[in-house]
Amino acid sequence: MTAAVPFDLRKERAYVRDLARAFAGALVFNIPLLMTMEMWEQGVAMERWRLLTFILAGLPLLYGLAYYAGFSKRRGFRNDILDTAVALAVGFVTASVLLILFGVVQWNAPPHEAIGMVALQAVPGAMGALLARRQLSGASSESSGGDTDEDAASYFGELFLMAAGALFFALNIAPTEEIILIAYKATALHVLALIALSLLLLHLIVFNAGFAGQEEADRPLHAFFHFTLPGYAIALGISLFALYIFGRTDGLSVQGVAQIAIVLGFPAAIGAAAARLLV
Amino acid sequence: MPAKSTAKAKSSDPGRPVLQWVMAVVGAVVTLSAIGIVVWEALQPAAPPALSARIVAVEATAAGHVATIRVQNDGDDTAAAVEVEGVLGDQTATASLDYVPRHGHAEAYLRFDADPRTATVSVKGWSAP
Repeated sequence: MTAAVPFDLRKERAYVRDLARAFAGALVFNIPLLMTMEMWEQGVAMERWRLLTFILAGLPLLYGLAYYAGFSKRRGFRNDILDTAVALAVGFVTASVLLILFGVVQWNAPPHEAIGMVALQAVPGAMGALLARRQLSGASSESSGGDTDEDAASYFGELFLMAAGALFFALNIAPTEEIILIAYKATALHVLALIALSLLLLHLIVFNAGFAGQEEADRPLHAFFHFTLPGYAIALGISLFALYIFGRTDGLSVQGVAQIAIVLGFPAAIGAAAARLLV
Repeated sequence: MPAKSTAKAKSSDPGRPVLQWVMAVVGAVVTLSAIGIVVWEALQPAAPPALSARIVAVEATAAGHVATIRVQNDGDDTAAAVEVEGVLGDQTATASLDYVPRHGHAEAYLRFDADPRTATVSVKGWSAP
């Protein structure tokens, strides 16, 4: 009977280590956003439906990351759900503590202001928490594969990871003023060149980081249609989503929207390609 | 009966750290609360910013008299780039605030040569964030 006591100190201690790594991951990934002025303003001022869309869209994304990466070694549907919830707790705690520490969230601030700012930052923080084990765990504690589902990621899984990587990079840039300025400065020629460079880099990174399996490695053209083009489409879609969330597409003509999406699509494409390196 | 159900839960769920459950519950509760509050806010009818400015404090400094202006926004929308102006005799002082949150307030400071207790302060305009 005593052996079945659910509280096992050794297990708890091991989990504290996992949790510490999750916080470290949230910090590493979220600090640039936590120290971006536009993110504070967006948290206060952004339309609430958009904030809601962002949070709700973030939940399945976080679950997907828990499935493919996750910060504890355990696997399984229930565990992935738990990991998602824990990652959100980590994201909320990290964002709250740091925003208070930076003096951005003040004690006398109206609650909706503080909640908007923290909720907006909690999702990228949770993403960082879920990627933590991959990024921060020592090689010794890492068994040589088989403990995550990522190694056996299906084609859909690969595309999902690309979307997550694209979102991560897009999120860091979409709220800033610079993206608008760059889009205004860009001429048609700049934009076309940016598309070409995005595709080229995406293809090179995808190819070298082993997105494409052994079969595709022998057929670069096949890999281009199989991974690079869909990856770029995903990067553009994610860019549009991020721009819409932050109100960057408001009042723009169709050409204006296309232009800014392509400009943001460049870092998003790099993020999509780097997903394989990160996760 | 309760003992039986816990035993069952344990067997289907071997050796999960208690801390994981605790953190998961914290995460779920916080996230659902945040979503709930955002939904509630989104359902509120929107009204344009309603800004008012008043002097809340005056301090004499080496660089003149500094009036603390509190700009109150009673509207449902946040105002950005809020221009505040104070007039005292023939002196006009201006300041701008990055934003004044809906149903919130922000503070600006205006400098005058003379004691500005009788100055008239007003909000000149703003832009949508």
